[in-house]
Amino acid sequence: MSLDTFHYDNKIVRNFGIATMIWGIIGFLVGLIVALKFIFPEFLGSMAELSFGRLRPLHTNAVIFAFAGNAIFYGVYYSLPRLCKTPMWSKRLSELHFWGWQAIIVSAVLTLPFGITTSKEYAELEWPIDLAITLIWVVFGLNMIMTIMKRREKHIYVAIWFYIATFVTVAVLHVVNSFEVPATFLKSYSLYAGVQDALVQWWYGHNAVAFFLTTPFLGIMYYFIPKAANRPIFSYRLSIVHFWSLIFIYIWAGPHHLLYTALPGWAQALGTVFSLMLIAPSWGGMLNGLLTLRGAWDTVRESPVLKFLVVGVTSYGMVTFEGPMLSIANVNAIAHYSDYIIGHVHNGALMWNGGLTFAMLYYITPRIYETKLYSLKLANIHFWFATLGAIFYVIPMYWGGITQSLMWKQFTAEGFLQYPNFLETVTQIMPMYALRAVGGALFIVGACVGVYNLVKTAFSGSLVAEEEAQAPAVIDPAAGHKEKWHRRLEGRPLQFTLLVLIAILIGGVVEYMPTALIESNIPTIESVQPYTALEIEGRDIYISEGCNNCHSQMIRPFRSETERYGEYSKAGEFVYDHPFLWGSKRTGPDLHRIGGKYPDSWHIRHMYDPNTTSPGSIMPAYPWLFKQDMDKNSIGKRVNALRAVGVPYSARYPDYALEDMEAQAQRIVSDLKANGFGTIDGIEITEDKKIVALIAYLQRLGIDIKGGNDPFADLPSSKKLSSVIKTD
Amino acid sequence: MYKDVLRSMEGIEIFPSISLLLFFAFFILMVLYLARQGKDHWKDAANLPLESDDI
Repeated sequence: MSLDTFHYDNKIVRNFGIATMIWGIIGFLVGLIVALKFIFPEFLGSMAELSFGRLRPLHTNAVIFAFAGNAIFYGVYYSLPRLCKTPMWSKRLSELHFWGWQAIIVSAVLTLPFGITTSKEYAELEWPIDLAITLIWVVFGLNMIMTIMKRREKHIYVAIWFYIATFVTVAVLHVVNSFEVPATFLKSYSLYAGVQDALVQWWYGHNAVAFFLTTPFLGIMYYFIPKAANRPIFSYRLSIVHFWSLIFIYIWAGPHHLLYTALPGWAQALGTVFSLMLIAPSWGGMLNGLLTLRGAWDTVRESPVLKFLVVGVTSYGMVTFEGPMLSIANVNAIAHYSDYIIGHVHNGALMWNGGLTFAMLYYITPRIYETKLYSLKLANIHFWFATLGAIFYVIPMYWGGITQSLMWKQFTAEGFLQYPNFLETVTQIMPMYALRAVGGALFIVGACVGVYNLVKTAFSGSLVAEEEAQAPAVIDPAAGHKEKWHRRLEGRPLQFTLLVLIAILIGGVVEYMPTALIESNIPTIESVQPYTALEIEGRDIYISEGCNNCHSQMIRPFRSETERYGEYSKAGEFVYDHPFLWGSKRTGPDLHRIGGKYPDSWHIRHMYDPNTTSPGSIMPAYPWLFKQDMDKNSIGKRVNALRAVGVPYSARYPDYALEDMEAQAQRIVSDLKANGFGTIDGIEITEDKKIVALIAYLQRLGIDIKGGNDPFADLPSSKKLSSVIKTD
Repeated sequence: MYKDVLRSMEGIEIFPSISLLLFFAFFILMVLYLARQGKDHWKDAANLPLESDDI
């Protein structure tokens, strides 16, 4: 049989490798900065662009999409052509993919710190960037599927199935979660509201973990463990069960992020059941990876690649045990909103994603540069820094998270909250925050040693940009004779992709549709009204400053929460919230019933310097809100966009929005003046400043349910329009 | 329109159970099928990563 000679493109692999390292270090450093802000709230304090609420999304986006994202493509562009025995289908598309993805990352760096965000976790980027992501993702998928179609190998190896599932599911998740109506060039409102938005967001958020941080890395595991250990995977049959069960079950588990919230009970129960089931395929996969090394454990001692792989896969096992346990309602009741979850994700992120990524870098770099690793010793040092760093990060977060959560729930013998002041529970765990920063710093030192070692390795060799390989020109029809159905399927990429799509859509559709479309699932509350124009502006400032990164707006039905915060949150209270702002972490207290709790002057003092009202607070000060003007120009457009997503403002309300906005601001400012708060620290509080809008929003939060409040009363619109709200 | 169609569906809560059963059936059948095939049936596939030549 004739042999084809062809060339693998190692240049694109190298490019993705460099991007992985650069964005990795940047993402880790931003993480360290936000960790330091817990201990030194004034650190880089006076700059809005470097405040915690704005940098935290930059950190998560950088490590997920820039570091892990580039690492995925690094692994795919190396392994896929070699498994298909053909170069990538289109070099031009590979390059477009590479530069397009980097441009998206740069656009995130240029928007998130400037407060341009949708607030939806791991989907913070605004609509023009969402469109770019969709386009570049299609470029990646097309290039991958066409490469598989052109392969010189009959069988599609299991790693590629995971790559296919990644492409298909991330595409579906991204598109469905990003339905939004633009108000201006860089501001949009989610098409969904309240409970629906929360369900879609966490269906997305959970599956971003599943199909961006898990399935592609499982594909990488299935390729690189056999390569590094030079032996086939422990059980190929297990990998088939692993694959189908994992992708089918994972898609259902999202609601475990919303236990005890206002999400309908049946959806919560479904999330719990499927999360518990998930332990089986996850552990099947982990054991399949680890057992591949049976009889070869001595090689782990010698090889940094295997060390990172083994610790990575072990950590995957720990995290996928923890995940289902955290989905059990009464465990979730303690862990949710606490730092435990931060520990949980970093266990996965640092060791599973980080570990596998560095394993790949150590494996691929010497090979594409035709050289040896510069220093085995430095690689081992990196390994220990990374492992110890992760331990010093994760354990304090577990410890601190549980401590704080138990303090939130502690009652005295008389039945009062033992720690009614939220701050007490924060100061208690400050040493844990300090230790966490130490852990993160250790991890970064290790990563820098790793990057140095890899750069030295590259310079000691020269890049084989076009690596020659040979394979039989045509697929041998006799290969895999006596074919049974799954073997046949493995030779048919399009049918395979379609089946993957069906498997993930079943869970998505069944879970989402009933809540989305049946109104009875979300009871409406008559007294709940849409926001006024000034409150919309205030809410947009709340989103822009990233307040939701530290404050929830979802009081769970526990006595410990209703005592502390007030009436528990009802689904019907959020019907006009585009997007929902329930949050996922309480570094500070819940804000759902903050409206009317304190006078406006308290908020003025608190936002200007939190320590004046709450001594010892680790909340940063927001002096810029007293200097920057609110955005009056686009308020009409924003009201129109909100009408488009379904908030029932009457058709003429946008014309009166500005007038309303000014009148309400004027009222707040004159009230402040009357109470002797016309200035703070010499700065006059005028009605066009952002702080006024933010106070209007905060004072509105959670009060409608008490009834008797007409937010539009006494505003110009209510005098000029027969009704501000459509009453159909 | 499609909202009305779904809204009129009675007992929509049973759909999750049906899909769970479907998956369970698929899972059992897959395990049985794989158990019936010998381990060697997949040997060539499992060796795929090891075939490509390294420099």
